[in-house]
Amino acid sequence: MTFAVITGASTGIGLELARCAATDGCEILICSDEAAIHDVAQTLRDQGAVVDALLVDLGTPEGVEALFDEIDGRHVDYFMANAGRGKGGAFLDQSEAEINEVIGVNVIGTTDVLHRTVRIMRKQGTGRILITGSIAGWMPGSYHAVYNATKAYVDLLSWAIRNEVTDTDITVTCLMPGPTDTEFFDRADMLDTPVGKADNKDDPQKVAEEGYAAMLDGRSGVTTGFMNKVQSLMSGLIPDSVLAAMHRKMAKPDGGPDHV
Amino acid sequence: MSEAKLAVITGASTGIGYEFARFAVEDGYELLICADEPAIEDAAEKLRRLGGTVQTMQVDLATAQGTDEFWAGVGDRHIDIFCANAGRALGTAFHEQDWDAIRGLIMLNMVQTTTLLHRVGLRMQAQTQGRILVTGSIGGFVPGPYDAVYNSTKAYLDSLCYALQDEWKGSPVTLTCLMPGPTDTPIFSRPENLLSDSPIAKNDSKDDVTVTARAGYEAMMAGHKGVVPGLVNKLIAMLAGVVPQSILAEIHRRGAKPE
Repeated sequence: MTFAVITGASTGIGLELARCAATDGCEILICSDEAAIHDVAQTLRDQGAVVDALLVDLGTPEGVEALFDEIDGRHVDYFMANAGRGKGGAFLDQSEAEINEVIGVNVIGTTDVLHRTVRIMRKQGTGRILITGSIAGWMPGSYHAVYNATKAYVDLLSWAIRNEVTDTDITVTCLMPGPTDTEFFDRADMLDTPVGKADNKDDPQKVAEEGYAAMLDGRSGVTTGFMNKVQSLMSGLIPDSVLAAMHRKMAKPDGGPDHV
Repeated sequence: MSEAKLAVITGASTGIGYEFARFAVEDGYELLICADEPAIEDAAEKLRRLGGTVQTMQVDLATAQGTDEFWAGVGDRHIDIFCANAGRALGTAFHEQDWDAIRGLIMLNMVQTTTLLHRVGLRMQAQTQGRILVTGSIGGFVPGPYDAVYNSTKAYLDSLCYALQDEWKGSPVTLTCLMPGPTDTPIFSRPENLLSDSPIAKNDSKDDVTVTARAGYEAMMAGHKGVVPGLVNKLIAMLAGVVPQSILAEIHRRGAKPE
């Protein structure tokens, strides 16, 4: 049976990726830092899937260790590194703890699980990795500065690892969604921003299905949604300072000061 | 004596950071410089011979304790210039790198830089004055096979700088991002990294460190947002916006893969 691991699978894109893998007949291991992961596991089991669920915080070394203890030397066919967090508002209004939490999950946790997964898959000689990056990585994130910067890290890391494994049967695919209709904006305290309020965000199910298909095809990257494709194309041509100003319009909280 | 303006520079024992320190001394700034190696004392001695008043700290900014220790050394002083320059490279393939080394690289290049930018940013906004120079890299525009995490940390820094410049628009604090190409500094030859066998380390056409640092320092003094020194590097930065990531990655592989 094909074995798939999905991180950050309690809600949003991760939950939909878990559904894709379960529907595809995979045996899945899902994790999240919230207890809802066990409800998700039960729902998927009720639909006939073979599911193992783990409550862990991948922003901590212990959390990552626990996930790989659970994998326990098994053959990993698909690994979907999806867990991530945002945090809106001006950089100087955020606390160091909030900033370090975003970096801890999005960068350190993601890099740690990828490092272990690439080593496992190199031993296997085969495997498919899907990394949830973001179009935010191609755009400096005024009023979401650390989050966008962590996604710049993740997007670039994905292409670098993909290139390094070209001599193997491992593929690395970067899923780069635009604003997607998940709990992300609520959790990032961004419900009072234009992007948080927008009612034309992408459907997480469609985003996940496109990402999952791209992973199976071994494609390098997929940007979901038409406007996001336009935006990611443009981001290579427009100066970073202009992109940052565009991002300000989306992410600045309503009524906030123009500058600190 | 307390009339002198203060420049705080991280990673100033060698390379670009040392050059920043030299320019600041020439401009009459009092210095607080740090590095994680005893060579910081040799650097300070040279700077004192140039007439500088120099305080040194030997701290490891790859740890939260080292960062706190350094910040305690800054104290509650007025900071006129802050150069967030400390950073390292690692080299070799991702799966061959040691996890602790990767984690240390992320802590140094990203986490401490972010922490100090946060602390210095708050201080300078309260002062209603200050100049910040961050050493990013054109590596941040290019996926970095055989130094994957390094390039990614620089992508983070480049992105963060442009975002903060926008957030601080109209404020009296300026932030400049220096994005050098390969520059002739010890970054390629440090014993703990694995880049020394790569073509880029052996290439003798790397940029002159004084020219690179001078471009960054002057851009900071002029309050510019970003500077990519050197014509070839400017070309790479421009191309990075239009060339597919997979091709950029392949170009990087040729320079960074150990022979």
